[in-house]
Amino acid sequence: MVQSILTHAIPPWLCAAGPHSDIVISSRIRLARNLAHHQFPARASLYERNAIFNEVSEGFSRANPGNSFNVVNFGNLDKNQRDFMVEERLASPDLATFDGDRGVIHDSARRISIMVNEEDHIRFQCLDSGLQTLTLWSEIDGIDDALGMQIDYAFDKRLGFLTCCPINAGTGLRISFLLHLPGCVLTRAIDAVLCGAGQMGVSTRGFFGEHSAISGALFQLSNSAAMGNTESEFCESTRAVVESIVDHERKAREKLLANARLELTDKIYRAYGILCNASLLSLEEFFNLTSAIRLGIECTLFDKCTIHELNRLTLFVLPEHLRVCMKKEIPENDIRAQRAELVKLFFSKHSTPQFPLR
Amino acid sequence: MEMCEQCGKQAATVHLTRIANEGTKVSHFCQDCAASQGLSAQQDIQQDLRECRHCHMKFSEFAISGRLGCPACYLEFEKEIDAMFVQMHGAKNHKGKAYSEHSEGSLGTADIQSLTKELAEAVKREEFELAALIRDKIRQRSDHAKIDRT
Repeated sequence: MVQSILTHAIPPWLCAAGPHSDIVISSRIRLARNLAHHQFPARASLYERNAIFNEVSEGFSRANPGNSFNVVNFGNLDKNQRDFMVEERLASPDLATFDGDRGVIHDSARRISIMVNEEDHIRFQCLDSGLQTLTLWSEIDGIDDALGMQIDYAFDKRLGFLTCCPINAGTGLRISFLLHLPGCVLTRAIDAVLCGAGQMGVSTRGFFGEHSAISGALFQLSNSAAMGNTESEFCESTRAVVESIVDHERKAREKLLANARLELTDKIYRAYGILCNASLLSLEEFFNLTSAIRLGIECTLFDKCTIHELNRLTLFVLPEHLRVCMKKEIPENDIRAQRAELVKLFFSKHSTPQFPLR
Repeated sequence: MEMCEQCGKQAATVHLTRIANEGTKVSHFCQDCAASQGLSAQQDIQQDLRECRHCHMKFSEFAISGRLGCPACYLEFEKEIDAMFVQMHGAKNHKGKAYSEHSEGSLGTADIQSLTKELAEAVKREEFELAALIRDKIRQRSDHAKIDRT
């Protein structure tokens, strides 16, 4: 059973590499584009959405001949398969629930994905671990240029790229980061930090984007504006804000270690105790408990697993991954029990040096 | 942050756009002053029956969902969207990447004055196909301006 955790390659955004990856779990650049002569997906008929899907995927093949990208039409997948891709962050939750032809074009590493017929006709994204902006942007920029030669984008000289929601119009750019900020939460500095970021044009959401709740001290931060600056300027200004939050978090962690080391250790090992012994674990509780474990690993107070192993586990306790991992259908009311079982197994195996994850 | 134009004490969160014969007038009120005048955002939206000529999305639908129907909606509801841009982005002009294949843009929200200039230049260069396109654009835009005033 645990074998599948070992063999399934985790997506690059969970690889805990790149600058500041002890705090910034992942960075994502998203670019919204639309075709000039079609209605936006929500308003387009099923027939028109089919035409859009074909136009984009064919344009993409012409733009990238001999590429290794996979075109996945969500209309041909069942709900479990769609949700699996949402959990890997290759697609948004919205894309999974829409109907008609829509889907994802992604590279084999699952670092770059292009959603077709989500809120906009085209949404490029490049997702990787650690704090990165310009490198991700330059990749997306190139793919956008190539596709733009093949199909007609909706573009206006004054307004820029036109999107379904005016909040994305202009550059169509959104730069977002998944941050783990337990130090700021524990020292109660978090509200001030996020409020400050808000004033600097950076807004906050939960782990799975819009409408998702915040748990486990995981925050998704992104630029609020998409117009009035160049793409590189947005990358730089957002990065600067996130770097200052990283600083705050570092100082908060140092403060905790200097003034409340025992309390912190207690919190980490209590979390460990629950994870090892619980019979039922909701996702929210899992995130809250592993937040302490994650902090413990980063502060070298906890050595029963590495960040890589914890990230792998974090992906596999999500409902669809859990189903794949357990190789069976799990009824909705049994998910918490199965999750607890996997977590228990994960930690118990880690207590022996023979376990292959080490 | 814009202040309420009536009391001048609180931040203006209600923005009323009145469309009358002489053009539009935008007023800004705080929640309390808006309520004291019996203003409810919902009411005004429902009375706005304009729709996009391309996709037939009604302005009232957009005001509720925040989502537009097609790229041409930007031209149809230009004034309102411009006001939203200032609130959302603090800007209403794109400064980033240009789409070089179509640097004219698919809508052309350039004003009539600059279009007329472009038209004259195109004629001078004897690029009549381009000139015809620009002429159509000017016509469309002046029609649009007329609709706005009725």
